Formats: sequence, structure tokens, C-alpha cells
Amino acid sequence: MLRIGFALLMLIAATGLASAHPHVFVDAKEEIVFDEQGRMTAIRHIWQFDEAFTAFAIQGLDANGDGKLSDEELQPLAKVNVDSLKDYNYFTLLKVNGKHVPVKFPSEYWLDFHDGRLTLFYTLPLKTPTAPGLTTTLEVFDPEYFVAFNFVKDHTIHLAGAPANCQATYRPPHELDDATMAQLAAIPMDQRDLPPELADAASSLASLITVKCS
Amino acid sequence: MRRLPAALALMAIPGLAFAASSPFGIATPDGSGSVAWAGPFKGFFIWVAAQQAAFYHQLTAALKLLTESGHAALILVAISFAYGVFHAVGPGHGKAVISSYLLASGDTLKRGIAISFASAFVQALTAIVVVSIGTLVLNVTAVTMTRATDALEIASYAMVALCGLWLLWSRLKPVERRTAGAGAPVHVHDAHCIHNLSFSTNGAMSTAAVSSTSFSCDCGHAHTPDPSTLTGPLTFRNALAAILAVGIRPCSGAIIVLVFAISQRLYWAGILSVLMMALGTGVTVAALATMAVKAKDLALRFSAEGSNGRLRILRGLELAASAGILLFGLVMLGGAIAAA
Repeated sequence: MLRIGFALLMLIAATGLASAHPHVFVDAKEEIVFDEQGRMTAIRHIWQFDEAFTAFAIQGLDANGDGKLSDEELQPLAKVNVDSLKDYNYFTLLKVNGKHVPVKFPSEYWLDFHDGRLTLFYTLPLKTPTAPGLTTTLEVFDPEYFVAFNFVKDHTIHLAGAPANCQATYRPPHELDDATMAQLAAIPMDQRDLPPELADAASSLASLITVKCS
Repeated sequence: MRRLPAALALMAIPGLAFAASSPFGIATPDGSGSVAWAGPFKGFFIWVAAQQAAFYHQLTAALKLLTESGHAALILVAISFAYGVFHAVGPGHGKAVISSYLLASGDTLKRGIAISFASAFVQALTAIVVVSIGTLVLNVTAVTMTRATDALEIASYAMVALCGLWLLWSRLKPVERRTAGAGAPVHVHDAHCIHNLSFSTNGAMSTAAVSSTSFSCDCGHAHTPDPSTLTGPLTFRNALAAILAVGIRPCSGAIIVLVFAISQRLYWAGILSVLMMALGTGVTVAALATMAVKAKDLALRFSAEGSNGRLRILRGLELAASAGILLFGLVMLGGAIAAA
């Protein structure tokens, strides 16, 4: 009898859960730094922000009003950025043989501004240097999708100082084609489970970087 | 009513899913959580996210285009509106609060739609005021502006909780006191009043017509005071509180777009864009509010004919929605304070 009323309440609750709000668009390049023993020691992020977010980020930063942003003017913002990213685990997930490899607070970080866009450079040292395993994967992804990561084509991943037998590959997030999107859109709101083929299409939004040392 | 606790728990989930400030320390996400990616509506929200991202890119592109040609204004208006529609499907923007409010208050659909648009426009105005003062008057940094919006967010959730508390209290109050509080019922016999009893086509008076006309007629002749006139000033103040509670929390998207427009020396275009976004947001919120009110009507229609059972369901729904608003406000407030 009350089913409709409760379906309604659930619907309202569900819309409250809705999470899809990209407000920051990042063009990312990644680097994994190796030591002489062939172990991974750090991850370097190079994240270029979109123009609108850049405009917001640099608002009021030109303290001396010379129309340029000096390193001194940008550094406090870089600090705020990395301090805040800590709570989000830097959107970085490095896994060796399926095990999460923890990172430390950035050892260096700075912002660069040119052509109307800010770029954040920062280096995350691994807690302990770790050799690549049978499977080594790096994911850079915001599950809340407040930040949309896009990876720069052909420059997504660079292995710095890696042994010659190591190679990195990049698998882009599965683009949802129009047909899949239309299928997704046609699913009634009350259907609890997606058909398996659609669930697969929807689950791989994260890009995956894989490191293999033969 | 056994499922009431479950429903309440469901409504509280949005707040449980997160306690986060902002990944870059500037621009706070609009009350998000990662739940939807795993939830039953995953596919739908991924699709909405893709639409939003596309519109956002087009929107910033249209703003840039305006620096070269004034004709891009029309494009900007259209895209901003579309962005608003899709954007509001995401978290925030008071959809849950407004819809629950309408269930709790028993407001009419017409007023519900008005409240939806009003809250969207107040939200746009807040963004315009915050950014105008922040950039043009004080020239503060993004960090300061984010702090200001975080403070407004806390105020917003506190107001939502108060609104829920108020609604809950007014629903739980004994009926006698509600009646007494609203002044003596009017009993006017209008001279022009014609007791217009309805007859069905076969000439026999339907029982429904008898029962309705025997209690009241709609020409200023009210033996039983109409509930809507009783709670009139109360619901108006409540509606205003709900609109403000939702509206004083500006959305990050509007703020970023406005600051971007100002940085391109297109202040007017930024304001136009944000207002159009609000129109689009209003459409989405109003659509959801309509669904809420319609579903409530439907639930009532399918419920027992006996007015007692129906009244109990109505009261139950109102109580659940009021408690839901209170819970939502409290949980979100807790999350926002913890993150601040």
C-alpha cells in the first residue's frame, strides 16, 4: 500500500546520492622514478588544469599586480593543493601484485602558469622502494568524479631510470559509445541491476597504467 | 509504517558517504559521495556525468568565443540552460530537501514548482554575490572564496536541519493546538453563495458529492476550516526557509564559471550564464518535485478509501519526510563541520 510512497522516498534518497559533478578537468602525465637497483622509488604527477578552474585558482594571487604570477605568488597555492590532496590519497593507487603500495607526503611540489593554464608538478615518494612485480598497476582516478582526469596522448607514462627491460603501457578508460549511452539511458530508474555487458562498460572509467619488466 | 526506519536511513545515506573538503583546497564538491558509481543507478549517472562534462567544455568554449563575437551569446544561453538541467541531476542543489519539503508540508504542485525555481535562483544569486564581492570588490583568493562558500554551506545545512525540526514539530503538534494557533475559523455565509450540489449523469446524487457538500462548500462558507488557510502563514514562512536553506549554498560550478567569465572581462556574460543555469536547475528540481507530489497523490489514491486510514498514511508520509529533512540536515552539517 505504501510501496509507492517508499519508492518515492528511495528515489529522493538516490538523487541525493547522485555523484557526477566534474568541476576540474586535468590533463595528466605520469612518471615512475626508479633507483639503480631497479626499484620504484617515487611517482611524479604533472597535472594541467582546464582554463576555467585555472581562472578560479589564480584569482587574487597576483599580489604585486604586475600581471604575472611568480613562483612566490604560486607556491602557497601549491602547498594548499598537496595538503588537500593528501585526504584523497592523491587520487593515486599503485599496486604491486595486487597489493597497495603506500606513498609519503610530496617531497617537492610547485605550480607553473602559462598560456592561461596552471600545471601542478609534484613527487610522491614511495614509503619503501618497491620492485615491480608480476603485475604492477598505477591508477589515477577520482571515484567521486569531481576531478575528471584525461591522460595526454602518447605522453601518459614515462619510466625514469627504469631498467631497459621494463615497459609501461596505458589503457584508456573505456569510452562509452553512443549506443551504450543510449542503452544506459533507456534503463528504467527502478531497475536495480545493470545487465552484465552494460555493467562492464560502466565499470572501467578509470585509466590503467601497467608496468611490466620481462 | 514498519518500513519507516529503513526509509529514513536511506535518506541519511548521502551524508554518510563522505566527509570531504576539496581535493585541491579550493572549490568544494557539491556534497558528493562515491556511492552512486556502485549503486543501482550507476549507468544513468555515468551517462549524466558524460553529458555534464561535454556541456561544461562547450560552456567554457562559448564564453571564450564571446571575447571574439557577440553572437556567441545565444549559444552561451542555450548551453548554460542545458548544463543546468544535467548538472542538477548530480548531488546538491537541494533536490532531496525541496522534494521532501513538499511531501512534509503538503504544499500544492504549483507552489512546489515555484519553490523549486525560487531555490535555484537564490542559489544563482548567492554565487553572483559571493563572486562579485570576492573578485571585483575585495580581490580575494580562491582559498578565501572557498572558505566563504564552506561557511555558507554549513549555514545552509543548519537551516535545513532547523527546517526539518520545525516541520516535524508542527506535524507532531496536536491538531487542536494547530487550529487554535491559526485564529478562529471563519464562518461566513456569502450572500451569493449557491449550494451547488453535483449530480451524476443519471440524476442520482453520488455519495461523494453528498459527503463533500455537507461539510463545506467553496464559496466562503466554511464550517470546517480548510487546512490550507490554517497553515497559510506557517507554510509560507516554511517555504521561504526551505528556499533560503537550499539557496544560500552556492554551487561550485556557478562560481568557477563566473570567475572564469570575469577573468575574460565578460562579467555580464557570466551572470547571464549563471542565471540560465539556474533556470535549467529549476527545471530539474521542479520535475523531481512534481514526481514527489504526484507519487504522494498516487499513494494516497491507492490507499484505503476510509478517510482515517488515508489520513494516517498522509501523516506518516509527512512525518517521514520531515524527519528525513532533519536527519539529512544534521548528517550533512556534521560532515561539513568535520571537513571544515
